[in-house]
Parts: sequence; structure tokens; C-alpha cells
Amino acid sequence: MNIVGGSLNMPICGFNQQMTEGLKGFHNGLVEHGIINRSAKKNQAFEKTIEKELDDMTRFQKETHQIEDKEMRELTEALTKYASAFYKLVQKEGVDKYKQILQFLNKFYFEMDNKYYSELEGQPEDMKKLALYLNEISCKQANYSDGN
Amino acid sequence: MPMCGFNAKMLEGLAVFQEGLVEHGLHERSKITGQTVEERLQEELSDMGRFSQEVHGITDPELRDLTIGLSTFAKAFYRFAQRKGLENYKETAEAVNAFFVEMDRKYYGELQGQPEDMRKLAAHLDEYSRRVA
Repeated sequence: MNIVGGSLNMPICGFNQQMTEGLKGFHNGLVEHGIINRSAKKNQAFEKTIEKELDDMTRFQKETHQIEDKEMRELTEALTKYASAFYKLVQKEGVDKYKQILQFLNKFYFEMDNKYYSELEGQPEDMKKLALYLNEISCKQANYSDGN
Repeated sequence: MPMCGFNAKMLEGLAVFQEGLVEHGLHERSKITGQTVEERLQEELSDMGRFSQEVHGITDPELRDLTIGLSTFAKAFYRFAQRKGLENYKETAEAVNAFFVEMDRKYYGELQGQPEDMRKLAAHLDEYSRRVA
């Protein structure tokens, strides 16, 4: 399933194609700039670069409480948490599979949108059902390498 | 920056995402639902709050954290944009990106490798946010 054109909405924000492309650019940069280019620059293995990034982010997360502005602190913590989770996913699946991972994440967010707006919105326990559905599709597609 | 190191493509992607949160998530959606932008914003915040209480149902730790991170980022951006005035959302997105660029500059240009680098970085960001937020 590909996200091609059209307009997507999802319960965490309301998503459209442009936003999906924005996230794709961010994901691409995390891998290409944050791992591949940095590894080449430092002449070190991808795995070592990922470990260093994860260690930096973990140490940083312990200090972000110092940022008193609530929204800036939450934006910083959320983006760090997101980048950290993304790197762990890439680490688990392999850097060589990052394009499939990007494709999977687009599908995952598409499914979140599609399920919520086409079926669950307005139902009792809509968010609980949505989370369970997302769990079901994440289990089904645990092998990101198939690209399906 | 300590969370990855930013390049232009990543900053552009983040800006597009943030602007889309307002343009699509609030303006376009409010027209579809017949709500005011403020009503739409409150409903989005409510939806995200309810969703965050259920996201533990996703057992895959990375996908769960990605979902929480994205949802939390969107929620924080909506609150920040509301505080700065929703009509100023493009400037607000620029300010958020500038904050991350400053994080990058401070860490890689000065603090990386120093003792207590992350504590100093967070303290600097607190000071920076007081000046600009």
C-alpha cells in the first residue's frame, strides 16, 4: 500500500501528503546524515555511530527538565524520543533496510489515519480500539524487510 | 545536535510537518467539520490526550515510542502555536526550527566532549528559550 496523493488525517494531528513527505525527509536525514555520513566522516561502523547517538540522547533526556518553558521542553523531549525510537528500529532491522522502514512507517501512519476516520471516529472507546489495531498491524509486519 | 545532527532536509521536513499541523490539521479540518479553528484545536488536543492514554496497547516498543513521540510533538506544537497566536504559525515553526539549530550549534560547536556536556546544553537551551519564546 502506498500513500500517493490525496489527503490524510489522523488522530494525532491530521495528516496530509505534504506532512508525510516532511516526515520522510526527516527520517531520511536521520539515517543518511545522522548515521551513514557521520560514520563515513568518523571512519566508524554504523552500529558504533548508532550506539553513540543513542547514548547522547539518553544522557540528554536526563537533563531536559532544566528547560522551563513547557512547550519548548516538550517539543525537545518528544523529538528526542522520536529520534531515539527511530534509531532503535533501524538498529533492530539493519541500516541497509532503512528505506523499507521508511515505507513501513508511512504505511503505519496511513493505517492509523484510515482506521480512525473511516471506522472508529465517534465510536465508544475509539482510541483504545485504534491502539489495539495498530498493535495488530505492527505485529503482522514485524519483518519490515518485506516492504509490504 | 545530540539527538542526531540536523541537515537542511531534516529542518525542511520538520517545518513542513509543523505548518501542516496548522494548515491541514486545523484550517482545512475545521472547514470540513464546520468548527472554528479554536474549536478544532481543542478537539485535536483532546483526541491526542485520549490517544496517549491508550497507546500502551502497542506492544512493539519502538513503534509505541515513535507514536508517542509524534503525538507529543504535535500536541506541544499546537500549544506553542496557540500561545504565540495561531495566525503566526509559520513564524512559530521557524522559531522551533531555530531552537533546534541552536541546539546543534551549541553542542557540536562548543560542548561535545566536555564534562557535563548535556547538562550545559540543557541549561543553555533554557536560557535561549527565555530569550526567544
